[in-house]
Amino acid sequence: MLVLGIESTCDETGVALVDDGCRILSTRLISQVPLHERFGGVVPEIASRAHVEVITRLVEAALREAGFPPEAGPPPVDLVAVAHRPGLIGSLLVGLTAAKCMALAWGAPLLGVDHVHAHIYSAAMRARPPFGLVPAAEVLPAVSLVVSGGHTALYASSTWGSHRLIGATTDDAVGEAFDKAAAILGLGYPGGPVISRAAEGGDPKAVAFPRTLLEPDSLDFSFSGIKTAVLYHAKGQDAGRGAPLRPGLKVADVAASFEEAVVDVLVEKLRRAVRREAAAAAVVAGGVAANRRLRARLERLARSERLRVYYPDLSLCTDNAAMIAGLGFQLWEEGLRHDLSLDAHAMTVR
Amino acid sequence: MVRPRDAVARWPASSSSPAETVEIARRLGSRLEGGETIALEGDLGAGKTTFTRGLCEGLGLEDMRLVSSPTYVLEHIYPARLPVHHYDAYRLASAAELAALGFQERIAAGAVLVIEWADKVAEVLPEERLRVELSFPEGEPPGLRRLLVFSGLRRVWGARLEALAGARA
Repeated sequence: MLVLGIESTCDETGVALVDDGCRILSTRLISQVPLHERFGGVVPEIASRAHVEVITRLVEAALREAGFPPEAGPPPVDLVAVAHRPGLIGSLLVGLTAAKCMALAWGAPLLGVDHVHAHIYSAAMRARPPFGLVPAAEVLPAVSLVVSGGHTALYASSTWGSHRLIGATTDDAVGEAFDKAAAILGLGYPGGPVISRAAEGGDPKAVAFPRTLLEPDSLDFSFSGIKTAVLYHAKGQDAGRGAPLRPGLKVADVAASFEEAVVDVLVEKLRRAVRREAAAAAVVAGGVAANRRLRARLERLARSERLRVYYPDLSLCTDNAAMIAGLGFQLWEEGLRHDLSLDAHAMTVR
Repeated sequence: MVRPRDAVARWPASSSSPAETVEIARRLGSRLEGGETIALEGDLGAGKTTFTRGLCEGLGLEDMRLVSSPTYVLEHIYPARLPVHHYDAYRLASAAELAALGFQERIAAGAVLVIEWADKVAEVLPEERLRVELSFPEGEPPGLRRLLVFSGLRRVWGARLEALAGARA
Protein backbone atom coordinates (compact mmCIF):
# COMPACT_ATOMS: atom_id res chain seq x y z
CA MET A 1 0.00 0.00 0.00
CA LEU A 2 1.53 3.26 -1.16
CA VAL A 3 0.99 6.14 1.27
CA LEU A 4 1.74 9.83 0.79
CA GLY A 5 2.50 11.45 4.13
CA ILE A 6 2.37 15.16 4.92
CA GLU A 7 3.90 16.86 7.97
CA SER A 8 3.42 20.56 8.75
CA THR A 9 2.80 20.74 12.49
CA CYS A 10 5.32 23.45 13.27
CA ASP A 11 8.45 24.77 11.56
CA GLU A 12 9.13 21.99 9.07
CA THR A 13 7.27 21.04 5.93
CA GLY A 14 7.70 17.39 4.97
CA VAL A 15 6.35 15.07 2.30
CA ALA A 16 7.14 11.36 1.98
CA LEU A 17 6.08 8.34 -0.02
CA VAL A 18 6.20 5.15 1.98
CA ASP A 19 5.16 1.67 0.88
CA ASP A 20 3.60 -0.74 3.38
CA GLY A 21 4.49 1.37 6.39
CA CYS A 22 8.25 1.02 6.15
CA ARG A 23 9.72 1.16 2.63
CA ILE A 24 10.62 4.82 2.20
CA LEU A 25 10.54 5.61 -1.53
CA SER A 26 11.21 9.28 -0.97
CA THR A 27 11.17 11.73 1.88
CA ARG A 28 11.54 15.46 1.55
CA LEU A 29 11.83 18.04 4.26
CA ILE A 30 12.15 21.76 4.05
CA SER A 31 13.31 23.26 7.24
CA GLN A 32 12.19 26.83 7.45
CA VAL A 33 15.08 27.75 9.69
CA PRO A 34 16.98 29.74 7.01
CA LEU A 35 13.78 31.56 6.16
CA HIS A 36 13.21 32.45 9.80
CA GLU A 37 16.83 33.36 10.37
CA ARG A 38 16.45 36.15 7.87
CA PHE A 39 13.73 37.58 10.07
CA GLY A 40 15.44 36.72 13.35
CA GLY A 41 12.94 34.15 14.56
CA VAL A 42 9.93 32.07 13.73
CA VAL A 43 7.36 34.16 11.97
CA PRO A 44 3.97 32.44 12.21
CA GLU A 45 2.53 34.17 9.20
CA ILE A 46 5.65 33.40 7.22
CA ALA A 47 5.60 29.84 8.58
CA SER A 48 2.08 29.29 7.26
CA ARG A 49 2.83 31.03 4.00
CA ALA A 50 6.07 29.10 3.65
CA HIS A 51 4.24 25.82 4.15
CA VAL A 52 1.80 26.90 1.41
CA GLU A 53 4.57 27.90 -0.95
CA VAL A 54 6.67 24.77 -0.62
CA ILE A 55 4.15 22.03 -0.05
CA THR A 56 3.02 21.43 -3.64
CA ARG A 57 6.60 21.64 -4.88
CA LEU A 58 7.64 19.15 -2.21
CA VAL A 59 4.83 16.77 -3.20
CA GLU A 60 5.95 16.96 -6.82
CA ALA A 61 9.60 16.38 -5.90
CA ALA A 62 8.76 13.45 -3.63
CA LEU A 63 6.58 11.84 -6.32
CA ARG A 64 9.25 12.32 -8.97
CA GLU A 65 11.94 10.82 -6.75
CA ALA A 66 9.70 7.84 -6.05
CA GLY A 67 9.30 7.26 -9.81
CA PHE A 68 5.96 8.94 -10.37
CA PRO A 69 6.56 12.10 -12.44
CA PRO A 70 3.42 14.22 -12.67
CA GLU A 71 3.44 14.17 -16.49
CA ALA A 72 2.84 10.40 -16.30
CA GLY A 73 -0.59 11.02 -14.80
CA PRO A 74 -2.00 10.64 -11.31
CA PRO A 75 0.32 8.65 -9.02
CA PRO A 76 -0.83 5.25 -7.70
CA VAL A 77 -1.16 6.60 -4.15
CA ASP A 78 -3.49 4.38 -2.08
CA LEU A 79 -3.80 6.67 0.92
CA VAL A 80 -2.99 10.26 1.88
CA ALA A 81 -1.92 10.52 5.54
CA VAL A 82 -1.56 13.90 7.21
CA ALA A 83 -0.47 15.03 10.67
CA HIS A 84 -3.60 16.91 11.80
CA ARG A 85 -2.64 17.34 15.49
CA PRO A 86 -1.04 18.61 17.68
CA GLY A 87 0.71 21.74 16.47
CA LEU A 88 0.39 25.34 15.42
CA ILE A 89 -3.12 25.58 14.01
CA GLY A 90 -2.28 27.72 10.96
CA SER A 91 0.55 25.41 9.95
CA LEU A 92 -1.58 22.29 10.50
CA LEU A 93 -4.32 23.69 8.29
CA VAL A 94 -1.92 24.16 5.38
CA GLY A 95 -0.86 20.50 5.49
CA LEU A 96 -4.42 19.29 6.01
CA THR A 97 -5.78 21.36 3.13
CA ALA A 98 -3.04 20.15 0.81
CA ALA A 99 -3.74 16.55 1.87
CA LYS A 100 -7.45 16.96 1.17
CA CYS A 101 -6.73 18.38 -2.28
CA MET A 102 -4.45 15.46 -3.18
CA ALA A 103 -6.92 12.90 -1.83
CA LEU A 104 -9.77 14.47 -3.77
CA ALA A 105 -7.78 14.84 -6.99
CA TRP A 106 -6.42 11.29 -6.91
CA GLY A 107 -9.51 9.61 -5.52
CA ALA A 108 -7.48 8.31 -2.57
CA PRO A 109 -8.78 8.07 1.00
CA LEU A 110 -7.57 10.58 3.59
CA LEU A 111 -6.37 9.71 7.08
CA GLY A 112 -5.36 12.09 9.88
CA VAL A 113 -2.65 10.91 12.25
CA ASP A 114 -1.34 12.26 15.53
CA HIS A 115 2.16 13.72 15.15
CA VAL A 116 3.28 12.44 18.58
CA HIS A 117 1.98 8.93 17.91
CA ALA A 118 3.88 8.99 14.61
CA HIS A 119 7.10 9.72 16.53
CA ILE A 120 6.46 6.56 18.56
CA TYR A 121 5.77 4.52 15.42
CA SER A 122 9.01 5.72 13.82
CA ALA A 123 10.91 3.45 16.23
CA ALA A 124 9.49 0.45 14.38
CA MET A 125 10.66 1.66 10.97
CA ARG A 126 13.98 0.39 9.70
CA ALA A 127 14.65 3.48 7.70
CA ARG A 128 17.49 2.24 5.50
CA PRO A 129 17.66 -0.40 2.78
CA PRO A 130 16.76 -3.19 3.11
CA PHE A 131 13.80 -1.47 4.71
CA GLY A 132 11.75 -3.38 7.17
CA LEU A 133 9.38 -3.16 10.04
CA VAL A 134 9.81 -4.35 13.59
CA PRO A 135 6.54 -6.27 14.06
CA ALA A 136 3.98 -4.64 16.33
CA ALA A 137 3.78 -7.87 18.34
CA GLU A 138 7.48 -7.55 19.16
CA VAL A 139 7.39 -3.88 20.27
CA LEU A 140 3.92 -3.63 21.82
CA PRO A 141 2.69 -3.32 24.46
CA ALA A 142 5.35 -0.83 25.47
CA VAL A 143 5.96 2.27 27.49
CA SER A 144 6.71 5.13 25.10
CA LEU A 145 8.76 8.19 25.97
CA VAL A 146 8.46 11.04 23.47
CA VAL A 147 11.11 13.70 23.95
CA SER A 148 11.40 16.66 21.59
CA GLY A 149 11.35 20.43 21.36
CA GLY A 150 7.61 20.59 21.83
CA HIS A 151 6.77 17.36 23.62
CA THR A 152 7.83 15.42 26.71
CA ALA A 153 5.44 12.65 27.66
CA LEU A 154 5.13 9.01 28.67
CA TYR A 155 2.48 6.75 27.19
CA ALA A 156 1.33 3.19 27.73
CA SER A 157 1.14 2.08 24.10
CA SER A 158 -1.01 -0.94 23.27
CA THR A 159 -1.39 -0.58 19.49
CA TRP A 160 0.15 1.89 17.04
CA GLY A 161 -3.03 3.92 17.32
CA SER A 162 -3.75 3.72 21.04
CA HIS A 163 -1.49 5.43 23.53
CA ARG A 164 -2.63 6.22 27.07
CA LEU A 165 -0.92 9.27 28.55
CA ILE A 166 0.70 8.33 31.86
CA GLY A 167 3.05 11.27 32.37
CA ALA A 168 3.85 14.66 30.85
CA THR A 169 5.87 17.77 31.47
CA THR A 170 4.32 20.30 33.79
CA ASP A 171 6.30 23.14 32.24
CA ASP A 172 9.06 22.98 29.62
CA ALA A 173 9.58 20.24 27.06
CA VAL A 174 12.99 18.63 27.38
CA GLY A 175 14.13 19.86 23.95
CA GLU A 176 13.10 23.32 25.02
CA ALA A 177 15.17 22.95 28.20
CA PHE A 178 18.15 22.14 25.97
CA ASP A 179 17.37 25.19 23.80
CA LYS A 180 17.09 27.51 26.79
CA ALA A 181 20.19 26.19 28.55
CA ALA A 182 22.08 26.64 25.28
CA ALA A 183 20.76 30.19 25.02
CA ILE A 184 21.89 30.97 28.60
CA LEU A 185 25.35 29.57 27.83
CA GLY A 186 25.51 31.46 24.52
CA LEU A 187 25.90 28.26 22.52
CA GLY A 188 23.37 28.87 19.77
CA TYR A 189 20.51 26.84 18.34
CA PRO A 190 19.24 24.12 18.24
CA GLY A 191 20.10 23.33 21.85
CA GLY A 192 20.36 19.52 21.72
CA PRO A 193 23.31 19.14 19.35
CA VAL A 194 25.13 22.29 20.55
CA ILE A 195 24.92 21.25 24.23
CA SER A 196 26.15 17.74 23.38
CA ARG A 197 29.03 19.18 21.40
CA ALA A 198 29.94 21.64 24.15
CA ALA A 199 29.73 18.82 26.72
CA GLU A 200 32.47 16.79 25.06
CA GLY A 201 35.39 16.61 27.45
CA GLY A 202 33.32 18.22 30.20
CA ASP A 203 32.87 16.67 33.63
CA PRO A 204 29.23 15.54 34.06
CA LYS A 205 29.68 15.59 37.86
CA ALA A 206 31.15 19.08 38.02
CA VAL A 207 27.86 20.79 38.85
CA ALA A 208 25.11 19.11 40.90
CA PHE A 209 22.10 20.39 38.98
CA PRO A 210 18.71 19.45 40.45
CA ARG A 211 16.98 16.29 39.28
CA THR A 212 13.33 17.22 39.58
CA LEU A 213 11.54 13.92 40.10
CA LEU A 214 8.38 15.29 41.79
CA GLU A 215 6.49 12.83 44.05
CA PRO A 216 8.00 9.33 44.38
CA ASP A 217 5.30 7.80 42.19
CA SER A 218 4.99 10.68 39.72
CA LEU A 219 5.58 10.08 36.03
CA ASP A 220 5.36 13.80 35.24
CA PHE A 221 8.34 15.96 34.36
CA SER A 222 9.50 19.44 35.28
CA PHE A 223 12.46 21.07 33.59
CA SER A 224 11.88 24.59 34.79
CA GLY A 225 14.00 24.16 37.94
CA ILE A 226 17.11 22.98 36.14
CA LYS A 227 16.76 25.83 33.66
CA THR A 228 16.77 28.29 36.56
CA ALA A 229 19.69 26.46 38.16
CA VAL A 230 21.72 26.76 34.95
CA LEU A 231 20.87 30.46 34.83
CA TYR A 232 22.04 31.05 38.40
CA HIS A 233 25.13 28.90 37.99
CA ALA A 234 26.18 30.53 34.74
CA LYS A 235 25.41 34.12 35.60
CA GLY A 236 25.56 34.34 39.37
CA GLN A 237 23.06 35.70 41.83
CA ASP A 238 21.92 38.73 39.90
CA ALA A 239 21.08 36.62 36.89
CA GLY A 240 19.04 38.49 34.39
CA ARG A 241 18.58 38.49 30.71
CA GLY A 242 21.69 39.90 29.08
CA ALA A 243 23.84 39.37 32.16
CA PRO A 244 27.29 38.07 31.19
CA LEU A 245 28.56 34.58 32.02
CA ARG A 246 30.56 34.38 35.24
CA PRO A 247 34.28 34.77 34.59
CA GLY A 248 36.09 31.43 34.56
CA LEU A 249 32.89 29.47 33.94
CA LYS A 250 33.73 26.09 32.43
CA VAL A 251 31.03 25.81 29.79
CA ALA A 252 31.98 22.20 28.94
CA ASP A 253 31.43 21.16 32.57
CA VAL A 254 28.12 23.01 32.79
CA ALA A 255 26.91 21.51 29.51
CA ALA A 256 27.96 17.98 30.53
CA SER A 257 26.42 18.33 34.00
CA PHE A 258 23.19 19.70 32.53
CA GLU A 259 22.96 16.88 30.03
CA GLU A 260 23.70 14.31 32.73
CA ALA A 261 20.99 15.70 35.03
CA VAL A 262 18.38 15.76 32.25
CA VAL A 263 19.25 12.23 31.15
CA ASP A 264 19.08 11.03 34.79
CA VAL A 265 15.53 12.33 35.03
CA LEU A 266 14.42 10.85 31.70
CA VAL A 267 15.88 7.45 32.52
CA GLU A 268 14.45 7.41 36.06
CA LYS A 269 10.96 8.34 34.84
CA LEU A 270 11.12 5.68 32.15
CA ARG A 271 12.25 3.13 34.75
CA ARG A 272 9.32 4.03 37.01
CA ALA A 273 6.87 3.83 34.13
CA VAL A 274 8.17 0.50 32.92
CA ARG A 275 7.89 -0.98 36.42
CA ARG A 276 4.43 0.41 37.03
CA GLU A 277 3.14 -0.83 33.68
CA ALA A 278 5.09 -4.10 34.01
CA ALA A 279 6.29 -3.46 30.47
CA ALA A 280 8.83 -5.63 28.69
CA ALA A 281 9.52 -3.02 26.02
CA ALA A 282 10.09 0.71 25.78
CA VAL A 283 10.08 3.12 22.85
CA VAL A 284 12.06 6.35 23.05
CA ALA A 285 11.39 8.76 20.18
CA GLY A 286 11.55 12.43 19.16
CA GLY A 287 14.48 14.74 18.54
CA VAL A 288 16.08 14.22 21.97
CA ALA A 289 16.12 10.44 21.29
CA ALA A 290 19.13 11.22 19.09
CA ASN A 291 21.13 12.21 22.19
CA ARG A 292 24.10 9.87 22.65
CA ARG A 293 24.33 10.19 26.41
CA LEU A 294 20.64 9.24 26.63
CA ARG A 295 21.06 6.26 24.30
CA ALA A 296 24.04 4.97 26.27
CA ARG A 297 22.06 5.16 29.51
CA LEU A 298 19.05 3.50 27.91
CA GLU A 299 21.24 0.56 26.94
CA ARG A 300 22.20 0.19 30.60
CA LEU A 301 18.58 0.47 31.67
CA ALA A 302 17.67 -2.20 29.15
CA ARG A 303 20.16 -4.57 30.72
CA SER A 304 19.28 -3.84 34.35
CA GLU A 305 15.51 -3.97 33.81
CA ARG A 306 15.59 -6.79 31.23
CA LEU A 307 13.86 -4.44 28.86
CA ARG A 308 13.75 -4.22 25.08
CA VAL A 309 14.34 -0.60 24.08
CA TYR A 310 13.52 0.69 20.61
CA TYR A 311 14.40 4.04 19.14
CA PRO A 312 14.19 5.46 15.64
CA ASP A 313 16.98 5.69 13.15
CA LEU A 314 18.69 9.06 13.64
CA SER A 315 17.16 10.30 10.35
CA LEU A 316 13.66 9.77 11.82
CA CYS A 317 14.16 11.35 15.25
CA THR A 318 13.35 14.89 14.25
CA ASP A 319 10.10 15.88 12.54
CA ASN A 320 9.60 14.13 9.21
CA ALA A 321 6.80 12.96 6.93
CA ALA A 322 7.94 9.33 6.55
CA MET A 323 6.69 8.55 10.06
CA ILE A 324 3.34 10.17 9.20
CA ALA A 325 2.97 7.99 6.09
CA GLY A 326 4.15 4.94 8.05
CA LEU A 327 1.66 5.40 10.87
CA GLY A 328 -1.07 6.21 8.33
CA PHE A 329 -0.58 2.76 6.81
CA GLN A 330 -0.76 1.05 10.21
CA LEU A 331 -3.88 2.92 11.31
CA TRP A 332 -5.57 2.12 8.00
CA GLU A 333 -4.76 -1.54 8.63
CA GLU A 334 -6.18 -1.19 12.16
CA GLY A 335 -9.43 -0.01 10.54
CA LEU A 336 -9.32 3.75 11.17
CA ARG A 337 -11.24 5.77 8.56
CA HIS A 338 -11.62 9.54 8.07
CA ASP A 339 -13.22 11.64 5.36
CA LEU A 340 -12.75 15.10 3.87
CA SER A 341 -14.46 16.74 6.85
CA LEU A 342 -11.37 15.99 8.98
CA ASP A 343 -10.36 18.89 11.25
CA ALA A 344 -6.99 20.08 12.56
CA HIS A 345 -6.48 20.27 16.32
CA ALA A 346 -3.87 22.31 18.15
CA MET A 347 -3.74 19.79 21.00
CA THR A 348 -3.97 16.02 21.19
CA VAL A 349 -7.36 14.98 22.53
CA ARG A 350 -6.57 12.75 25.47
CA MET B 1 -1.87 60.72 26.43
CA VAL B 2 -1.13 61.30 30.09
CA ARG B 3 -3.27 59.36 32.51
CA PRO B 4 -3.74 60.08 36.19
CA ARG B 5 -1.61 57.77 38.24
CA ASP B 6 -4.53 56.20 39.98
CA ALA B 7 -6.02 55.06 36.69
CA VAL B 8 -3.81 52.02 37.08
CA ALA B 9 -4.38 49.50 39.86
CA ARG B 10 -1.30 47.76 41.15
CA TRP B 11 -0.77 44.85 43.52
CA PRO B 12 2.69 43.72 44.49
CA ALA B 13 2.69 40.19 45.86
CA SER B 14 5.31 37.67 46.73
CA SER B 15 5.33 33.91 46.51
CA SER B 16 7.55 31.54 48.48
CA SER B 17 7.11 28.54 46.18
CA PRO B 18 5.74 27.34 42.84
CA ALA B 19 2.74 25.95 44.77
CA GLU B 20 1.99 29.40 46.15
CA THR B 21 2.35 30.95 42.69
CA VAL B 22 -0.20 28.40 41.44
CA GLU B 23 -2.54 29.32 44.28
CA ILE B 24 -2.33 33.07 43.58
CA ALA B 25 -2.95 32.47 39.89
CA ARG B 26 -5.81 30.06 40.63
CA ARG B 27 -7.64 32.80 42.54
CA LEU B 28 -7.16 35.15 39.62
CA GLY B 29 -8.36 32.49 37.18
CA SER B 30 -11.58 31.97 39.09
CA ARG B 31 -12.36 35.69 38.68
CA LEU B 32 -11.93 35.82 34.90
CA GLU B 33 -14.98 36.33 32.71
CA GLY B 34 -13.63 35.95 29.18
CA GLY B 35 -11.99 38.41 26.82
CA GLU B 36 -9.13 39.17 29.23
CA THR B 37 -5.47 39.26 28.27
CA ILE B 38 -2.96 38.25 30.95
CA ALA B 39 0.49 39.52 29.98
CA LEU B 40 3.25 37.62 31.77
CA GLU B 41 6.73 39.12 31.96
CA GLY B 42 9.84 37.71 33.56
CA ASP B 43 13.10 35.96 32.87
CA LEU B 44 13.70 32.29 32.19
CA GLY B 45 12.58 30.35 35.25
CA ALA B 46 10.62 33.22 36.82
CA GLY B 47 7.46 31.10 36.89
CA LYS B 48 5.39 32.16 33.86
CA THR B 49 4.28 28.64 32.91
CA THR B 50 3.69 27.78 36.59
CA PHE B 51 1.47 30.86 36.84
CA THR B 52 -0.45 29.76 33.76
CA ARG B 53 -1.11 26.35 35.34
CA GLY B 54 -2.70 28.02 38.34
CA LEU B 55 -4.74 30.32 36.13
CA CYS B 56 -6.09 27.35 34.18
CA GLU B 57 -6.89 25.54 37.41
CA GLY B 58 -8.91 28.57 38.52
CA LEU B 59 -10.66 28.48 35.17
CA GLY B 60 -11.75 24.91 35.85
CA LEU B 61 -9.51 23.07 33.42
CA GLU B 62 -9.91 19.39 34.26
CA ASP B 63 -6.83 17.88 32.67
CA MET B 64 -3.97 19.95 34.04
CA ARG B 65 -1.53 17.85 32.06
CA LEU B 66 -2.53 19.81 28.99
CA VAL B 67 -0.75 22.89 30.37
CA SER B 68 2.89 23.20 29.42
CA SER B 69 5.21 25.71 27.85
CA PRO B 70 4.17 26.65 24.30
CA THR B 71 7.62 27.97 23.41
CA TYR B 72 8.08 25.51 20.58
CA VAL B 73 4.67 25.53 18.97
CA LEU B 74 3.86 29.17 19.94
CA GLU B 75 0.21 28.58 20.92
CA HIS B 76 -1.58 26.06 23.13
CA ILE B 77 -5.37 25.95 23.46
CA TYR B 78 -6.97 24.55 26.62
CA PRO B 79 -10.68 23.66 27.01
CA ALA B 80 -11.32 25.25 30.43
CA ARG B 81 -14.56 26.94 31.60
CA LEU B 82 -13.54 29.56 29.05
CA PRO B 83 -11.19 28.62 26.22
CA VAL B 84 -7.63 29.55 27.18
CA HIS B 85 -5.16 30.51 24.47
CA HIS B 86 -1.63 30.23 25.85
CA TYR B 87 0.97 32.03 23.74
CA ASP B 88 4.72 32.31 24.06
CA ALA B 89 6.59 35.18 22.43
CA TYR B 90 10.04 33.80 23.36
CA ARG B 91 10.80 32.73 19.79
CA LEU B 92 9.09 35.71 18.15
CA ALA B 93 11.12 38.58 16.77
CA SER B 94 8.40 41.19 16.63
CA ALA B 95 4.93 42.02 17.86
CA ALA B 96 3.48 41.76 14.35
CA GLU B 97 4.19 38.03 14.47
CA LEU B 98 1.92 37.57 17.46
CA ALA B 99 -0.78 39.56 15.72
CA ALA B 100 -0.45 37.12 12.81
CA LEU B 101 -1.42 34.27 15.12
CA GLY B 102 -4.87 35.85 15.27
CA PHE B 103 -4.99 36.62 18.96
CA GLN B 104 -7.23 39.67 18.52
CA GLU B 105 -9.97 37.43 17.15
CA ARG B 106 -9.64 35.24 20.24
CA ILE B 107 -10.26 38.21 22.54
CA ALA B 108 -13.35 39.16 20.56
CA ALA B 109 -14.58 35.57 20.84
CA GLY B 110 -14.44 35.73 24.65
CA ALA B 111 -11.42 33.52 25.25
CA VAL B 112 -8.83 34.15 27.95
CA LEU B 113 -5.40 34.94 26.55
CA VAL B 114 -2.20 34.26 28.42
CA ILE B 115 1.00 35.52 26.85
CA GLU B 116 4.46 34.61 28.10
CA TRP B 117 7.30 37.04 27.33
CA ALA B 118 4.58 39.66 26.80
CA ASP B 119 7.10 42.52 27.09
CA LYS B 120 8.45 41.49 23.68
CA VAL B 121 5.08 42.12 22.05
CA ALA B 122 3.59 44.77 24.32
CA GLU B 123 2.73 47.21 21.56
CA VAL B 124 0.07 44.97 20.03
CA LEU B 125 -1.52 43.94 23.32
CA PRO B 126 -4.78 45.56 24.43
CA GLU B 127 -4.63 48.43 26.90
CA GLU B 128 -7.08 46.51 29.11
CA ARG B 129 -4.57 43.73 29.73
CA LEU B 130 -3.39 42.64 33.16
CA ARG B 131 0.38 42.81 33.45
CA VAL B 132 2.02 40.28 35.73
CA GLU B 133 5.72 40.89 36.23
CA LEU B 134 7.48 37.92 37.81
CA SER B 135 10.99 38.39 39.12
CA PHE B 136 13.67 36.93 41.33
CA PRO B 137 14.09 38.91 44.56
CA GLU B 138 17.33 40.84 44.45
CA GLY B 139 20.05 40.36 47.02
CA GLU B 140 18.80 36.95 48.09
CA PRO B 141 20.51 33.65 47.46
CA PRO B 142 18.92 31.72 44.60
CA GLY B 143 15.76 30.04 45.75
CA LEU B 144 12.09 29.51 45.12
CA ARG B 145 10.84 32.95 46.18
CA ARG B 146 9.43 35.18 43.44
CA LEU B 147 7.98 38.66 43.32
CA LEU B 148 4.74 39.10 41.39
CA VAL B 149 3.62 42.60 40.49
CA PHE B 150 0.12 42.85 39.02
CA SER B 151 -0.98 46.01 37.23
CA GLY B 152 -3.88 46.95 35.01
CA LEU B 153 -6.43 49.66 34.33
CA ARG B 154 -8.32 50.31 37.54
CA ARG B 155 -11.72 50.26 35.82
CA VAL B 156 -11.00 46.75 34.55
CA TRP B 157 -8.83 45.24 37.25
CA GLY B 158 -9.20 47.38 40.40
CA ALA B 159 -11.92 45.33 42.10
CA ARG B 160 -10.39 42.02 41.21
CA LEU B 161 -6.91 42.97 42.38
CA GLU B 162 -8.33 44.29 45.64
CA ALA B 163 -10.18 41.01 46.13
CA LEU B 164 -7.00 39.07 45.46
CA ALA B 165 -5.00 41.21 47.85
CA GLY B 166 -7.76 40.90 50.47
CA ALA B 167 -7.87 37.14 50.18
CA ARG B 168 -4.16 37.03 50.90
CA ALA B 169 -4.25 39.41 53.84
